[in-house]
Amino acid sequence: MSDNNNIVLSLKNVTKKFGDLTVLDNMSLDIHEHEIVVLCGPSGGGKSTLLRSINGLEKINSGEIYYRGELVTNKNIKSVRSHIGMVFQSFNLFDNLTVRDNLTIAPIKILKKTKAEAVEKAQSYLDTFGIGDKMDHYPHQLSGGQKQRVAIVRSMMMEPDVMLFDEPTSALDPEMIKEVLDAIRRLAEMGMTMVIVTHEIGFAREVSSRMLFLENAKIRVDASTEDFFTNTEDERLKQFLSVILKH
Amino acid sequence: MSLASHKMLFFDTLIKSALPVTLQLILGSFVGACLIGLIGGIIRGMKVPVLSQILGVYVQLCRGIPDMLVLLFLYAAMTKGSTYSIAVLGISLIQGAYIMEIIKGGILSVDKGQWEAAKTLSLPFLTTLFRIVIPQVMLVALPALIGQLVLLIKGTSVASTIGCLELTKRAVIAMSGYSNALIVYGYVLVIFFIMCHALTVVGKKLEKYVVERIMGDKYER
Ligand SMILES: Nc1ncnc2c1ncn2[C@@H]1O[C@H](COP(=O)(O)OP(=O)(O)OP(=O)(O)O)[C@@H](O)[C@H]1O
Ligand SMILES: [Mg+2]
Repeated sequence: MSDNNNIVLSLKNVTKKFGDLTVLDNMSLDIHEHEIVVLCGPSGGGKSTLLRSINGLEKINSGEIYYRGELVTNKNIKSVRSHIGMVFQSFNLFDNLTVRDNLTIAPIKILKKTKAEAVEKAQSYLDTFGIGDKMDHYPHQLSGGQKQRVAIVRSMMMEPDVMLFDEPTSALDPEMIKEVLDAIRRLAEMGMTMVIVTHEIGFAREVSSRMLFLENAKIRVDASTEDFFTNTEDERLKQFLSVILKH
Repeated sequence: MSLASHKMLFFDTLIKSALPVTLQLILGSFVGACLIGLIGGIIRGMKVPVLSQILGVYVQLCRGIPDMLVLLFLYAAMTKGSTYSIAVLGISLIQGAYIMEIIKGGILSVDKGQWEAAKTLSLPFLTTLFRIVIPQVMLVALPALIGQLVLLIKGTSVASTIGCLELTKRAVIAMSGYSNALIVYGYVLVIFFIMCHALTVVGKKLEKYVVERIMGDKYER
């Protein structure tokens, strides 16, 4: 695909267990710069756990994770994390802060931006995503789709190198899904490296360059998007796709 | 009872000499109880190992021992300190335990997702705690905290058991000089009621103000 210099994230033989249950089974995976990788698969397959392990929200039992060639350890996890954006299914905005403060608290504190710089940047992102008038709103005053776009901007404010999305539209009403998907499309146009868990299979096909099918703690299929949909020999994937495409 | 003796009882004995003591007891224990409650509540809410178990035992002790006994015990155990300072210590310890449980509950009520989001943004723990979590704790816990404070005000009368000259104790002493117990206790009762009622009224306003400060207006709980 591309040479090693372009690898943003690399998992080597990663195993994660919850008690006796193996959720990631000796998993290896490279994510290259500008790649848009969509993870799909049946519920409980380990998709969320994979994303959460990448930025240290879950501790892995064995294996290694590398960020830009550097082994991620307890020591550097904080600095590594600051390069990895994460968007959750349930938005997780800070309820007691306005959109402005939600967006600027981390860049001011961590990236040492001035307030004016941070606000200016926040405004330009909000404008890009069609919510430029929401700066002074509190999360409870926003719709689900607006909240998720704010959450995306909040991650982008940290100037991430890669963005992880865990079912960003699953908690949304159908009419709001499009606005969030459009926001992700904009990030794609900007060349953002992304790993996306989604059941929006049409969107996945359109935006991704590579698709992974996760089942029972293993990556069962790892293919270019084209091959994933047209050339797959994998029976389980065929079955999964037929169900999800009918739906 | 003559008007002059009413005046003497109410103004001189109760308002001028006893009320300031009670107010100082309230203020001192309020500060003490809030400090204990906030720090302990954070430790328990964050489930800090060992410390939170120890505090759990402390809370159970305070719940299971009559307030009066706590004070008598402290009074017997402490060789130094005025009755006032022993009372403040005792009431702080007792009320602090209840406030601790309120704060702990508030911290647990804040969605884990916000902690995780803060983590992914690399926000330091203390920033997350004080800028994001504690304000939301205040939001949910304020009504219970104000209720507890009313209990604290009433609870200061327990200081009388170790001879601290606050309202109740003064009343008991004054009894010997007056024939009508109903009037003496009646005055004290009214003073306590007014303080508690005032706090409840102010508390409602404060709640509204705090909600607006924390969540903006038009917020529905
Ligand atoms: N904190 C946890 N403790 C114990 N088990 C867990 C925990 N988190 C996840 N699991 C289990 O790990 C397995 C994988 O969960 P995960 O959330 O990664 O799946 P998923 O592929 O994201 O599923 P979904 O499509 O439903 O979101 C599931 O069986 C789940 O029950
Ligand atoms: Mg999931």
